[in-house]
Amino acid sequence: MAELIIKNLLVNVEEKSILKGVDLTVQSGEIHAIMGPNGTGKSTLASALMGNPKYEVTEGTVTLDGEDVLEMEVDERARAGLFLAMQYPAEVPGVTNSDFMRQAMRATSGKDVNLIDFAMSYEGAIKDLKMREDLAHRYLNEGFSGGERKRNEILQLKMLKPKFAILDEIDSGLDVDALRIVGHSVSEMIKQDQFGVILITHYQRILDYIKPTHVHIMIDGKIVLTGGQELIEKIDQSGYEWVKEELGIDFVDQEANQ
Amino acid sequence: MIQFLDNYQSWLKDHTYTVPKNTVLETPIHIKLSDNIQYDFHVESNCELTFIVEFEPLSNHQNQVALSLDIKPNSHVKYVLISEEKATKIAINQTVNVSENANVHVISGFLSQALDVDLKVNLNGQNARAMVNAIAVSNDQQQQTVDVHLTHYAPYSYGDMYNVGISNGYGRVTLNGVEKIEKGMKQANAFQTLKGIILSDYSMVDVNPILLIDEYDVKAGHGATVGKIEDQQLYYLQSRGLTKIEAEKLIIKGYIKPILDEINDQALVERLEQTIYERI
Repeated sequence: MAELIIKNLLVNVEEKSILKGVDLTVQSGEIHAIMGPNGTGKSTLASALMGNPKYEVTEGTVTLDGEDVLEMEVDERARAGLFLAMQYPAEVPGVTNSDFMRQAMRATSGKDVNLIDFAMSYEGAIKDLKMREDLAHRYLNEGFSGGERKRNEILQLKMLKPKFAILDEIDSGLDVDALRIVGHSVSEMIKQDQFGVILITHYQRILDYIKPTHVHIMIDGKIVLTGGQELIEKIDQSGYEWVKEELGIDFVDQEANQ
Repeated sequence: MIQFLDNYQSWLKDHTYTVPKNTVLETPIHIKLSDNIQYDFHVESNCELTFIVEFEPLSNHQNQVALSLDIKPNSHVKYVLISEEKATKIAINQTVNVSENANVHVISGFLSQALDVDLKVNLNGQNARAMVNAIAVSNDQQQQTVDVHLTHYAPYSYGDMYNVGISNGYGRVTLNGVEKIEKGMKQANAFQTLKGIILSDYSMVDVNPILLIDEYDVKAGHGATVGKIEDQQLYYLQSRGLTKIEAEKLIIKGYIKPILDEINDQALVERLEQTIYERI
């Protein structure tokens, strides 16, 4: 049983305050959906947890089983058991998916990865996610469509088996069929490996496949409401306006504002 | 001095090496050259073969090397040119002439301390094709200059180059790529990509891509970039557990691996990789 604890997290992006005090505790096997309108800091939370250098943590703590995550380099966080399925994963020309994956598995597991075992399980995972058969030999995300990139993130999750997975809008850019494949696949993985999940989305559809144990609504850099699946339905029907009214908070859609 | 690692030395007469026509070889002709030398290689028509040419001078003095390679019609040649650390100071003058329907793939790795390379590839016949790949890697105070000239003297000729310069420490690499299409050489294709990667605050890479085109009916394109490794690429690889150094190495491997993979000598490739990774 592993535990990720976020306390009073404040994060700036280019000197602008985005997260304004986030508290969240996630345990193995739990699925926390973080929902909210555009531009309220959901993806900032994901990037800050992984340690993206563009994001500056100004206050607060994050611990994984008691270890201070914020003190760790990005790669140390990965080896400690954090995984981020990114919204915009980078392209790395000349590096094949399989070379990269094998090195990542060696790094996170600390063990050498037998080539034949690796090839078998990688091919199996590629089939499960219904990706192109030549994926292993293609360069990392180079020339991938938006949907392929998202699936490649999930494929990596499947291979690396972290303690906690943060899924940053893995549903955007996926068509209905791809969404079902990815949704099923992630939900199977969680059943099997019992890792903890922070799932960031502003659509409800992905939650048809990945059933959250907790639902949080984030507005203006803070989690303003926490509940169960009943919140999803309410958002589906009435959007986020009611949250504002109910809680008496005033916010503007940041993206629309820009 | 010239030394043949396998057979095939019988084709050498004085300073001229002639591969007879219709020669098809599975294994490369592997040659080691040392000290000031001048050789002319001729490949007669309808041949298919690979040369691997390495410089291994006996002294640290400035070395002058002049080589020419003439490829007759319908022959296909892969030409691997390597100048490793052992060749401390070296100036290489290499000319390649390609006849009609012949093609050459020049792959070169330059790792010497002080190096000046002048590589001229002339496409002299219709449908002559040349692909040129050069990698130069420097560190410490090393200075390397690589000039590649690809000239289209015939219509329907095809030339492409992809050259990579990597510099660390106080190293300095200059890559000049000049591709020229002469007047009347219609339907010629000229492409070039130059990449410079700097790994330290004091290293330098100069890239100068130049296209000189004196004909309308052609296709041509060029691109050049110089910079540090992208932060977002490093972040991505690190987020999967690779240390910063492992991530940098993997990204650089991505630039040079496609070139090194073309060299069909596993031991040589491993040796080059090792030297390159030591420098970065």
